Amino acid sequence: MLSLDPIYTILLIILLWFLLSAISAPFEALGWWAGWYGGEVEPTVDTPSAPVRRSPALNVSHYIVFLTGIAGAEQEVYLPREKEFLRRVADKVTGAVIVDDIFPYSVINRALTHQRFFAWFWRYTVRRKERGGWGGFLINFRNLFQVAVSADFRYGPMYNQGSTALILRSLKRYGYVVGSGIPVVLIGYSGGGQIALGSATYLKRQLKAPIYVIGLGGVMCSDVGLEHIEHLYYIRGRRDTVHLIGPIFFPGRWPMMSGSYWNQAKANGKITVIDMGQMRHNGPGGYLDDDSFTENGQSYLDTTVATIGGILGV
Amino acid sequence: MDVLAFPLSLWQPPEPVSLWEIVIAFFNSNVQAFTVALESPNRNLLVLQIVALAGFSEAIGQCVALFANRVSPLRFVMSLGVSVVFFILGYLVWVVSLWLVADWIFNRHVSLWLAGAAVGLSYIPLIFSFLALMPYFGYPVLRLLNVWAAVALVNILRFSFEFEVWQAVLCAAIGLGIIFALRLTIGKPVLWLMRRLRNAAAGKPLQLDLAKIFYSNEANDEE
Repeated sequence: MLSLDPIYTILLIILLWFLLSAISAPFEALGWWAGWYGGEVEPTVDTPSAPVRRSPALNVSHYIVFLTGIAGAEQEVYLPREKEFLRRVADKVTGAVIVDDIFPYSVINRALTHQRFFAWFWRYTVRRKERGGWGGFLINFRNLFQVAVSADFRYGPMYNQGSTALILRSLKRYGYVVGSGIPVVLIGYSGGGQIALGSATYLKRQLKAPIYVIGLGGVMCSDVGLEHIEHLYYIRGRRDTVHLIGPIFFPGRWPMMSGSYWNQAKANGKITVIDMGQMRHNGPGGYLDDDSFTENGQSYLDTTVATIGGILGV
Repeated sequence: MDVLAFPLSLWQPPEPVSLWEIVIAFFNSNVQAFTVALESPNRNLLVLQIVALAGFSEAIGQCVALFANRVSPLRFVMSLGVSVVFFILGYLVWVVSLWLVADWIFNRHVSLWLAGAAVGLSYIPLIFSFLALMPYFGYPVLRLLNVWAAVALVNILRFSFEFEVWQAVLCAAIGLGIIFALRLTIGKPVLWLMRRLRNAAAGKPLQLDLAKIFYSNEANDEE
């Protein structure tokens, strides 16, 4: 018989919640692919409040698509550190257009807090998160399952084609002309790294332009997308434990799997690992922290922006 | 009558066993579950419930193929129903195959029902086949459940057919071999019919090789 012991009950509830979250995770992508939503995709916001330049000078050097980390809950980048990061990237890479209105953890671009059956729950969760509570953990976990969907050989092709459709739509809204050959840089922060790699295969097929992926503490599997990108820049700090999900849980990243896409790309010099010193994944001491400093007095945020600038040749 | 009243009052008819109870018993011991099921007055229904539930769970766990083929919601439900029926038919073929092997090769004359219960109870791990839906880890979990079901079958066969371990394994292996041989020979028309029925339920020819679906389609650009 089931005991009513409170600890046992709490553990059971957590286990059930975990299983329910896991088994329900693929359904949004599957339903989208099967057309059960009638092709419905949430519109992107017309006037993003993020002060990121949308149309630069005449000659566009790159289109930079930012795919937020697993802490994201809405299309619009709302985390202050991410907003500031994008603003500085825009200042640094003056010829680039920054695309920042994609919620990469929903193939229909639907924010967790809008038009969902559990939207009320996610709104409550976001409020808890903003107060520094447990909300962040739940959002991270929910989005991490979407990363797993993207990495799954059964669901990945569907999910990643959904992500590609979203990225394409945003690129066009920001003035990208398909066939122009302008390079597209996908910056995938945390789990966004996997979404970037996953969509690269289909994006390449559509754009026929160079595609670069920058995995900022990226959680990435050995994805076929590695065959289709020009290069992967894998930015990681020594105190970042989150990016380790990739090399630990995705067998294709294990060194013994020499034939995997990851190890093949590595052998072909397609992956550059950039060591960010003592940086953490997020929060204080994270890649986007403007209050922590390297030995030469540069803030972590500026160091990250400078690294990305260096990759893009500015 | 008074003479019989006392002994009759001592006799208790066996209580029907619920599905939940048999699953718990299975987790304690495969053989215990078999014994409990054997003594239950609702044993036939119990085994059928286990097999049908395992079939439904497996159909849910494998439903990605239906989504990938862009089956409509109504057709999706119909396809799940067809999958469950096919699963039950597969179970019956498996039971008869094992029963015949035990009878002809190993000279174990047990009732067909006993063989049915043995195989049916070994399907209990497959009740959790819906866990295959889990992204990334779902597929390995499904494989583990299959291994668990195979081990349970060997355990129960040992007990119910009075086999040694090697005999139970060999019996199951020969039974599987017969099924594969049937699929390649006289079972072909049946497989053809099953495929037709599956397609009829889905409303379109189903492509079960997902790679062929995904790599023959261009990316969906809605604009």
